[in-house]
Amino acid sequence: MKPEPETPSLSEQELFELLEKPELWPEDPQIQAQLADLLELHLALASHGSELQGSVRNVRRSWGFQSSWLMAAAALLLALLPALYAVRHTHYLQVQAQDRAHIEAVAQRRGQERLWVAFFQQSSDLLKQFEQQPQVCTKERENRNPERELAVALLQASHQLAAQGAPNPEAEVTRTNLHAWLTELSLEEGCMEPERAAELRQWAATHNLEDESKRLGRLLKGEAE
Amino acid sequence: MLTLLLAAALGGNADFPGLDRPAKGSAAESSADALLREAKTLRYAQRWFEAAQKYRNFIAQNPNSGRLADARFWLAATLEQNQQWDDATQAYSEFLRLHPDQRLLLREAKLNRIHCWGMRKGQAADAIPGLVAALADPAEEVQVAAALELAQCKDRRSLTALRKGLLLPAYTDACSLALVSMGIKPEPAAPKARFLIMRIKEAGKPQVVTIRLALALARAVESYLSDVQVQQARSKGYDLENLTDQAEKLPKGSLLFSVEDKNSSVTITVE
Repeated sequence: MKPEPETPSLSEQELFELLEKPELWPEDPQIQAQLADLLELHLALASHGSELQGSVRNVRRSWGFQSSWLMAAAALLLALLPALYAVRHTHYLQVQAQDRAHIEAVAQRRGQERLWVAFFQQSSDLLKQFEQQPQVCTKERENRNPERELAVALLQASHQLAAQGAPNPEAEVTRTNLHAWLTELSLEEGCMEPERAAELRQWAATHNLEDESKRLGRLLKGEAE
Repeated sequence: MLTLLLAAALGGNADFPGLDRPAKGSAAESSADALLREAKTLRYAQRWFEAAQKYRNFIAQNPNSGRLADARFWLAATLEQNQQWDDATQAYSEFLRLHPDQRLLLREAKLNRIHCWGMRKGQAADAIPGLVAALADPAEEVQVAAALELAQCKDRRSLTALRKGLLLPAYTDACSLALVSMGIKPEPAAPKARFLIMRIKEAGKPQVVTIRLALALARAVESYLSDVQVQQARSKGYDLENLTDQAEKLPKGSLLFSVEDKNSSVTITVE
């Protein structure tokens, strides 16, 4: 493993410029923490601006009388502010991390299921297509080139899905059956003997491959069976 | 033997196992042909044990047959179908060792053997070493398939091949998901300088979550969108399959599209 490259520290000017553009925030967690601190401070000052102005006016009116009290309050505020910001900032980062993890997990599951749905739907379409009368290559052979090419692509998809793991055992069983059928078809010549095509059709029909593919495609897509 | 030679001359082709039936014009099936045909019929009927036995008989009785490669491949495939993973692995290895010139079956055999090893991860002693060895296979597809299996047990030796797989269109999605599951941002080995920024605002939550994706992996955007949002994007004329091409034409900072449903709103910009 190579060590992660060190992120150079940023000047204050660069940090303030980045504040306006969160999409450009670097990945480095330290810099992100610095930026979040600055942002918190900026937001806090903005929201307390009017109160502070009022306080300043009062201070001017009774400066002599309350100066020691104000100094103490200011000192207390200065001591407490960083701690309060740290607490809020930590909470903010925790919520952000939780939200991101949730979004990533949903996206991962959704992406995986869509790959399975596409595989079953395309397999079902291929099986349907294979039922139909094709054009002829020669007098005695059927042109099954389009179906064969699709079978090669679906076989590749099947290998990927096998490596990823199935959303449920039923899907894996049907994928395995389809995989065997797709292997047979993809290893055939594009110009196929009608007897061989009939044999493959018979096999698919015996194991109800088309209906099973269609059903699982719908099931995984969340539609009612 | 003469019948076999005749059959091969008339149309038998070791590359196409579907042709393991008597060639047209041959007067009668030889016993070897009959054995293979029986094995295939049993295999189609999912009578795996008997089918495997027939293939074994054929291999034992016809050591010089031109169709041994087919028989060995389908024996391994039959054992795999019967979930005899270790036997299948061994049979595929034997096929690969004895018939390295079978171009069409070679790739399938390697990929199927990876699947068998994958099923035995953590149980069979040779499974993980086999998968790790496959990472050095000359075929990128084989490396990536092995990496996907290893990624399931968070084996970091898979990282290089997974990143390589991000650049293979057929494997982009799978490798991207595998890297995310390992807690790694999916960026290709040679990262592009441009990114898509997704800002996702979930209903009922005050914060916006920002997710950055390398432009080369723009297809993965679809996974972050619900079905309704995917429909919206399509109706706006965005082809989610080829988002990279569409985004590349846009200047930095431009809005690609935004979609929303009752659960979230998503805005995507190009950076």
